[in-house]
Amino acid sequence: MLVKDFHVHISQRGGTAILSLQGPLTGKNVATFRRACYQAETQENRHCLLDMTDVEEIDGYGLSALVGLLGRRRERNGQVVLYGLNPGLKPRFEATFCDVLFAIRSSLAQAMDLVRVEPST
Amino acid sequence: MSQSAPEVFVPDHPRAVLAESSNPGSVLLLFVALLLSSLAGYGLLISGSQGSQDFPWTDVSLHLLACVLTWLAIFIGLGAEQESRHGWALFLAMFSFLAGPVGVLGSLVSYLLAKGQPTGTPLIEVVKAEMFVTTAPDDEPDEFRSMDLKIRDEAQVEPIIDMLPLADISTAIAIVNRLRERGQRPDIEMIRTVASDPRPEVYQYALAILDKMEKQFAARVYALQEEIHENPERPSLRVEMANLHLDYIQSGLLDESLRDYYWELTLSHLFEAMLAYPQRVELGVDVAQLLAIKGLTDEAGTVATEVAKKDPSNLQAQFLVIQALYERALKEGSSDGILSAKKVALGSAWAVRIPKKRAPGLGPTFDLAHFWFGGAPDA
Repeated sequence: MLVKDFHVHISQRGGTAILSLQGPLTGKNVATFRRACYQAETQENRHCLLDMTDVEEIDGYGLSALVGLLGRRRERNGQVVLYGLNPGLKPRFEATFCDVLFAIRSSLAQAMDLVRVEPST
Repeated sequence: MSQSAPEVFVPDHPRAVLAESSNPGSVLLLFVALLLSSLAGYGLLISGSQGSQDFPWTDVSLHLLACVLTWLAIFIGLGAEQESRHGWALFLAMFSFLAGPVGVLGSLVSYLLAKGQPTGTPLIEVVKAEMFVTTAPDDEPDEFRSMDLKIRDEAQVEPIIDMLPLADISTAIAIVNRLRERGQRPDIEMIRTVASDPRPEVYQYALAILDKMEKQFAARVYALQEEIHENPERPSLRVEMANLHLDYIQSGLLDESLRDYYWELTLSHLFEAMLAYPQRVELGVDVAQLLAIKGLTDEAGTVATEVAKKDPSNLQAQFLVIQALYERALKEGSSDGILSAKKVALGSAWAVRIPKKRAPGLGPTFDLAHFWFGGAPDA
């Protein structure tokens, strides 16, 4: 059976952390994602953008990890914006109401515009 | 009918204790018994090593004499006022008989250490205190019936808790047992507090109780996990698991540092159930409530609004929407927000299913108003 690896690449742009996810965000990979989130949080970034372009699969554990990240960012008045979401994942976001919980944009530029326009809520 | 007010329980006499000083005669007898028993043991060892075929009558007699002396010493030492002295004397004599010189030594040490120790069970005092808490006359006329508030939520003091700082070790342990039986969150938090008691016997017992309760939760989670593994097609098991995790979070057992992790775990089980059954919109209300528990009030309101759009008659969703609007208005200090919350409440009223049963002569308007503002009993 082919095991797909999961990687997170962290970068930073103007006080905003950008996490590029690669691979399936499912139960067995959630710990890796959570570690990356904590690493990004220690860098004093207020907002967090998630590049979902290379995420082809997500389950309940992955979605709850995203909501957990949202909760922690909210505590410091930050935002979480998803961009490049695979259309195949949209029904999963809709079924769990995550489509209304997260700001979802199609590109990095649009996501950056959002955190510049709405620095905090 | 006159009711006598419950009285605060105050122990009317100090707890009975053994004599503060040891009886010199008993101590002397026990030392003699120890000497005789040691001689008997030595004699038995020597005769065994020399391969003697005769039965060691002398050594056995010496040891029996030592046991009798032990019995006599304890009997005299405990005194005539101690009703249990027959039993204790017999018990320690038997112990000495079976354990040899070590048994006699044990009897001597027990006797010396027992002076001044309480003889009654501390649980009796805890039960008396509990009787004070639960005393409530049940036959009051209806017009004078009290609000029936739980005393533990309202009272500033509670007898068994107040006893804790003054309690001796055995009483503190009895209180921990009582708290465990009650098992509510404040009780478990109190056990966690007792776990910081400076006395090793008390804090170790409290820690053991907490550990046992956590293991009970873990066993339930494991059993349910197995059931989910065997029946992955049943999303209701996922919801049950989410409930179990939420119970654990709210039980008071969970360490603060793990709260976020378990909250995410709860949410993940709920999401798994929703992914398996996307048409079950009401699970969205559970998501909204979990978000509200986490303090994500705006997000809870957003999800609840979506649920209310899909299922307008869902009362819980409407309530969460109004609550989110109200809390946002409070945070922003805006009266407009509170007004809009009221408008939403009234606007949502059309979708509420009217209760079938209503009092004769009262119309649907009354029902609705009662439903929203008065809490209809059959709602």
